Amino acid sequence: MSDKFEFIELLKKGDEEAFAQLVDAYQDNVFNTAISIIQHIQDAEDLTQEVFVQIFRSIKDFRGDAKLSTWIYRITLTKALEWERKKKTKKAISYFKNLVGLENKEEVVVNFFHPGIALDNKENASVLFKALQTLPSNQRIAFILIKAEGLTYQEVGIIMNKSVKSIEGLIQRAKDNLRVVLEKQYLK
Amino acid sequence: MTQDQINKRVEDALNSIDNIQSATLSPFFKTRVFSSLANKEQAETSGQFKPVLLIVVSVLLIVMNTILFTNISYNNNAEKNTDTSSLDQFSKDYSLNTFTNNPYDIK
Repeated sequence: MSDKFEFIELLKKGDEEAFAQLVDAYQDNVFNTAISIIQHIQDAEDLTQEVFVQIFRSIKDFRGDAKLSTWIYRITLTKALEWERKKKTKKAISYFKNLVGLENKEEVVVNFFHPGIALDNKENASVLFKALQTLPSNQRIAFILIKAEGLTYQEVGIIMNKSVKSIEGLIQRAKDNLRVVLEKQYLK
Repeated sequence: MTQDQINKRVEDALNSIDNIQSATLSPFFKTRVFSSLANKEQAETSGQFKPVLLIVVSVLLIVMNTILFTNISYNNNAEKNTDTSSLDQFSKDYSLNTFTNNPYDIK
């Protein structure tokens, strides 16, 4: 339904019913991608909302070169990385304020538990999510889209604008880096 | 912990998100999106209105000031003109010489 020309035309005209259908169809994909990247449930919900507001505003610019789902994934990833950057800046400012004594907040590191993971896997997944934060963003995104979102290498290649071979390379490097980090973690 | 045990734990961790279930949003999520859209639209409309209002108010102020300024200067000129003409008339009526600033002026 979502890639039909008429449906996209309705969205471009600002049809609210069509937009509601779009939200229904993609909200879980957007939310799950966001949650795996930013690792915070409430923030991921806010980000998902921002993504749909952005979609509603910029659907007029959607040329139809890629699938609608690809376009939505791209918006989600851009927004999630932007969100992360802002959070890092805030953290750095807060750290600096602590250093000069303007603020006296101690940073609390909270383990992230993805709500979609079975109870017996929660601990392992939490360790993996922590290790994922050490990866470069392109390796992390490729890993999340393939492992958590269950997309194919080809789909991820289209979303990230890379060849299947380079996605395979990214996944391999991500796994190698994660193994090193996890080994260190378990040796402690 | 032996190396084999560590390797097993590492592999378990790497595969821990393979069968991840889709997390779901609250049932009110769609309502939130629509109200956020409405709020942003409203904010934008009022934001667009503000510069127009500012321009209109400043143009009005400039126009009012110009009118006031020209009115005042016109009134001053008119007053000056009437002053000199009435003095001339007065000196003519009473056959008075016009005053000069120079007391050594030879007539």
